[in-house]
Amino acid sequence: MKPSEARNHRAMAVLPLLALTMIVVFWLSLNVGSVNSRSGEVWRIIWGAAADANLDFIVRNIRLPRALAALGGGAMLAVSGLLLQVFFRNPIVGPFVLGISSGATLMVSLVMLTSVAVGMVGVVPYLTPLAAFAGALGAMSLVMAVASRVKQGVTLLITGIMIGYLTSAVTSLLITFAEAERIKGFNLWQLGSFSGYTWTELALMMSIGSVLLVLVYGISKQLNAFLLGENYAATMGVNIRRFRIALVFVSCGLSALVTATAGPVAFVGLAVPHMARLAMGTSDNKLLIPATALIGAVVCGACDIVARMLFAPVEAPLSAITSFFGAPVVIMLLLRNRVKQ
Amino acid sequence: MNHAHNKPTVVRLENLQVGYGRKAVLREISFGLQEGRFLSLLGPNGAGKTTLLRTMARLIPAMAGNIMIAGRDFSKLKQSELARIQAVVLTDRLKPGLLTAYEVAALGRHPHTGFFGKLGPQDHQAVKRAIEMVGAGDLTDRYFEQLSDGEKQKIVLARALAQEPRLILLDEPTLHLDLKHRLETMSILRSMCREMRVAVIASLHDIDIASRVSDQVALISGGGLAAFGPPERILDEQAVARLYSLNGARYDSRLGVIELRNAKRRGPVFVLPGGGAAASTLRLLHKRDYAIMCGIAHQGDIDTHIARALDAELVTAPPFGRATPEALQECRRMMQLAGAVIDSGFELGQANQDNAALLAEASKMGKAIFSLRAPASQEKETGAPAADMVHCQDEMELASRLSAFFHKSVS
Repeated sequence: MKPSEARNHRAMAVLPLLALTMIVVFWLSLNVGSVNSRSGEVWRIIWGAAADANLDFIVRNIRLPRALAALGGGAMLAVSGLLLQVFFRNPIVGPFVLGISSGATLMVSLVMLTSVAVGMVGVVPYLTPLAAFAGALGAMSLVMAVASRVKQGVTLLITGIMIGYLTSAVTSLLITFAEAERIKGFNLWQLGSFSGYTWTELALMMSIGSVLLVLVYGISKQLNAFLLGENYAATMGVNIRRFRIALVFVSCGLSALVTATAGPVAFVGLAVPHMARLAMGTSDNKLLIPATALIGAVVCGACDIVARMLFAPVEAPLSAITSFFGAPVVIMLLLRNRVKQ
Repeated sequence: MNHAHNKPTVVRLENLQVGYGRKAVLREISFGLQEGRFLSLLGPNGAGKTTLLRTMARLIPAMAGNIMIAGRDFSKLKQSELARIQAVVLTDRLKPGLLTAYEVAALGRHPHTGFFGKLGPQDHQAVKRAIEMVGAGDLTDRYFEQLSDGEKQKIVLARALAQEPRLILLDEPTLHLDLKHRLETMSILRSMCREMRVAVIASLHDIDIASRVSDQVALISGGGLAAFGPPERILDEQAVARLYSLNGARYDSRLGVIELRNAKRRGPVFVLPGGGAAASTLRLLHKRDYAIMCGIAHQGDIDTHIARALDAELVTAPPFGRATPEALQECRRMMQLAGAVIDSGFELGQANQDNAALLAEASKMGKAIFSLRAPASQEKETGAPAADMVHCQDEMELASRLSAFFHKSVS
């Protein structure tokens, strides 16, 4: 059997398994919450047979968008992380580490905490997501500018961390002078949560997100060439400038969409691509992209359920849960690399 | 030689100027290369070989001048069009993660596949052909990162070949490789030229390997192209010494080797050569820092070339001819000077009766004689009395006995 065939066989086994797991997580997500619900009832509600008006509302307008958002958001963050890891040829980058989330946070804090945007709220719809996207793009451009000058991954990480510090400095200044009302809203956003996700937000995230995910597939060929490094990719015919722009646009877009609507969610973009590589046993991005998306959905969905249940009825912040699961994964990966060398 | 004229030229450099930023590293580079030809770029570190290759690979822009590749203007080609004509092998270390050797080689199909990069039957065929060509058929299923350096290099070459280029550029393709893999790499490149009609341009460090495989060499030093042409014409002792500013080493163009200069702290010794018998003795004595005198050496004999490369004092005779009386007199003078005389165990023929006579004379002079000949045949062959000599099994024994002898005579 040729290796490519063996790989495809493995993919054919793993991908459906992941899809199945995602459906299970989705179903659990609909059934778990502070209001008791029997799964039979939930099943009927989904298919339109309303039994209990109260539960009907909870499932349809609270749990369903929330579950879909957690799954979709997780997938998008994870794929964004995968793109960044391939592009920077560095296993420990992700949207959060590179300061992309911080950039988004900065812009969102400007919108949410100050009066800068007051006049625009009515004029520009989706102001928060747009601000987050602008912030993400700004941070990413800064990191790219540094990356083009230095080759070491460590410098990149430090740049990302510094951007994080700068934004939190600005944010804390803004908080000092902001009105209490606004601070509460911003704090909630900053903790990261898919609770209170509305159908409108979901429609926004899903529609743009799915376009971006299709675009990711469009650059998967170049992404594979990049596995040999930027120079080799160039000599194999990749237009580096165009590819770089496409990649920054897509990965920023994906993480900004999630960050804008759900707040910064840590570690999903960093840890999930590694889990996908382990599960699939390949670095071939054409197989990794769907696997990363599915695992991202499963992980984020599961963490969202845990956040809901852990201290019910109080919601735990999502980032706390993802960090608990993600940080050990990253440490383990680093240690494993050390041993291999 | 002239059949080269009807081969199409794959690449032609016209007054190319290369460098980084505004700083020119090389100026006025012009040469052409035909298909199926091997060109080595030679020059000291930092001369600009890599800069030239990176410019040709379009990783850095040319500062002035032009490149014509496959009859087209380099600067007007799209990146993907260029990739279909030219493959590049860099010194960058590959870390493709969990890709198998086959998948890495298959990445070379990039410029030939469609939007999603799906490999068709022809693509697989090209990859398999490339892998077979480099003799890596047994590596395909393994993860690339688990291969040894030599195995990795084979796959890297297969990747370049899978690109089905007309020209391959290689920057130091034998860097970090052991001797076996270095030779393998060069023979693979050689057969790429011969069998697949690919033109190859490689920067190399090994001047002796380069002189063996190249059809053309380009000597790069002093901010430009110092010489260009077939190695047989270009690479002589002076050119190599100038190129690398060799100090304390000599290059022999016949042998294609570089020999270090020694300090001549011991000796001197006088060696009687003949028909290559003294080759390893000469090298060993040279390595052990002896000042060497040598005669009668016949011109064209390998002993003569080695002795000359080793900077020995040499008395020669014409090929297969007898020595002149003056030459013999010179040898006698040398033997007088020498602390010891060494009989390399040369085969006796018509032409080197002189050396046998010299040996007998040395014996009469009362010189210390060390011989690599079997004691039983000594008198019969050379007419010198075996009893007066130290007979040694091999060169190593000779060296240690010689060392003991000189140690004693000094103290």
